[in-house]
Amino acid sequence: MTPQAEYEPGRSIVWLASYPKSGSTWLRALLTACLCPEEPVDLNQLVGTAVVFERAQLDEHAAIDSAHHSLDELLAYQSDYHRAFAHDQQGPVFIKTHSAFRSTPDGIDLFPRSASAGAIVVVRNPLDIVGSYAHHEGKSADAIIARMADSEARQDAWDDRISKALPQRIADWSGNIASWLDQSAMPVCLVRYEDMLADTKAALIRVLEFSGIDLGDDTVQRAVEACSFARLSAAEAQGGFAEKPSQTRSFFRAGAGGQGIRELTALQASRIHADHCAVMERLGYAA
Amino acid sequence: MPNYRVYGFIVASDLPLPVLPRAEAGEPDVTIAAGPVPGTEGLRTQFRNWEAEPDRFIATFHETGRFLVSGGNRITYHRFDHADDSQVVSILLGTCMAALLMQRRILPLHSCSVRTDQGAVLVMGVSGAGKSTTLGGLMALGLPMMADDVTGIVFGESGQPMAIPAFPATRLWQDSLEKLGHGTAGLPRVRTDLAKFYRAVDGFHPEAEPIRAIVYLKATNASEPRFHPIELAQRTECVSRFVHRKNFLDGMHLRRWGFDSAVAIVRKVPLFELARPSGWVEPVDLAKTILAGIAASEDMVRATA
Repeated sequence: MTPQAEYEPGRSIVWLASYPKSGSTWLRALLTACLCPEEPVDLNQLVGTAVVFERAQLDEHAAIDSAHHSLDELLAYQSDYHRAFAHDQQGPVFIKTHSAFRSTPDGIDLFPRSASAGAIVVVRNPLDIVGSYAHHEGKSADAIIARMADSEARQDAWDDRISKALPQRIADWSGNIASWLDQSAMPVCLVRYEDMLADTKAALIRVLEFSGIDLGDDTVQRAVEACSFARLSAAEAQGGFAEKPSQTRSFFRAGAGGQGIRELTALQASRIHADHCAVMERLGYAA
Repeated sequence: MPNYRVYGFIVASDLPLPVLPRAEAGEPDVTIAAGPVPGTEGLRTQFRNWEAEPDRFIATFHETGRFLVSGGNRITYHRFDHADDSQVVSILLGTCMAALLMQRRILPLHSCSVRTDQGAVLVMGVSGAGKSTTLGGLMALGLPMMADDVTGIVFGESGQPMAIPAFPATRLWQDSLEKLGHGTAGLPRVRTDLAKFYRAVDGFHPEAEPIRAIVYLKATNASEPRFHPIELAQRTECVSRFVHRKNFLDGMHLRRWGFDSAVAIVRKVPLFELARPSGWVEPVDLAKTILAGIAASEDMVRATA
């Protein structure tokens, strides 16, 4: 039976959860094209922005200075804020996150059931993530492979300064994905990037059905066409993409699958397999 | 209990407040002391750890304690086990101080401030925009500090907005301190487990000053800083946005006061925006951009008067 998001009073958020460079931006563009079919896709106006991870918003809600709290200390405040944010919304409210699914020792979830209708978990073969992530960060493949194996890996977190976005613990690739697939707070729609490539329309229909969005076939087809890699790449070249970390490196790089095994050395590929074989097998990625 | 001076009033505290200047012995205006504080379970507003009422603010901060601010003259705290002084002081000088200022009808604006020869210049912005670093640049130009993070605002007899100084210490991350040429040895930490430090400043202006200008600082993807006046129609909203802990105003029945204060400020004080590149910019360069921009605007006003 196809899982469905569970909308109840207060449960309005559908999390777009993914490890970085797994294709969530493409999915956000597709959803935007579906929900706003009359407008050209604007990469700087995509649905799913991480609004609840804006530091100033949390600080105002919880009356704290989040810069003076550790990432673990912030979890309880963020959980409350997610519930407050979701409380007055009409679902689905899509919100992207690269965070692992986390909880405090006494059971407070960062992504609480009482705020969450469901999660769309986007995954991608880690072999292919390496090159994409290395390009995105301007780092070597070896550095990225090490980061993908780091269970304490964080985003927007530094020991000596802060950003406007709240820090998130993205964990290692396997831990990130397993945390979302194994949680019981909300239903999950698992989307493989490779399946999106193979049949974008079918993958999008499954996401829309999960989210409870009923659209005509023509609308979905036009959304798929509007969000081809070529058109998104052109949109980035024309209008920029504010969410990318560097204005000198393109965000939409190749839009393909299977290039990882060609880009990586045998040693690098074996490291990925050694670090992540269990979850790779679970997701149907050849070990 | 020793007395300290902050925002123009005298505070007696049973907890050391190492960054506040000591004040003369005598009857304090405000007392900070440990004591029983009721819990915040069952608050009227769900999903929140605090509640504001007229002359009463109460909050629970996870792993730190419960705090009660009352009557504009008392802060009571109940410390949780394992919370250290730095955690409690951080709340006292942050959120509790904001509630206290409002109870005393001092508008807390999330801004740093310095004194120039023509009045106070305030730089407001969200956390992470670079206020503290910009403050370092302004002070490097010889301008005495008035506040690091929150400037108090009251109104003089003629309705002139006045900046009320906070305390003579800046809070800077290790990265910023080192880029400004300062070490961290011997400096008290804002939090025991953070690389953010209080640094006492010699150049501090302890008296209220009329406000000369307010600058809204924001980080952008632009490659160069851009300084310009804020459109008239947007100024009240812009100032209102940076009232520190503005969510307290409704519960305190002070929303009208807060709005009227913001309107009164923009009627008298020019407002500018500095859109700075999100990467590192020399603090002194940012400071010079601000001062030059304000001066140019004032020259233009005089020329057209």
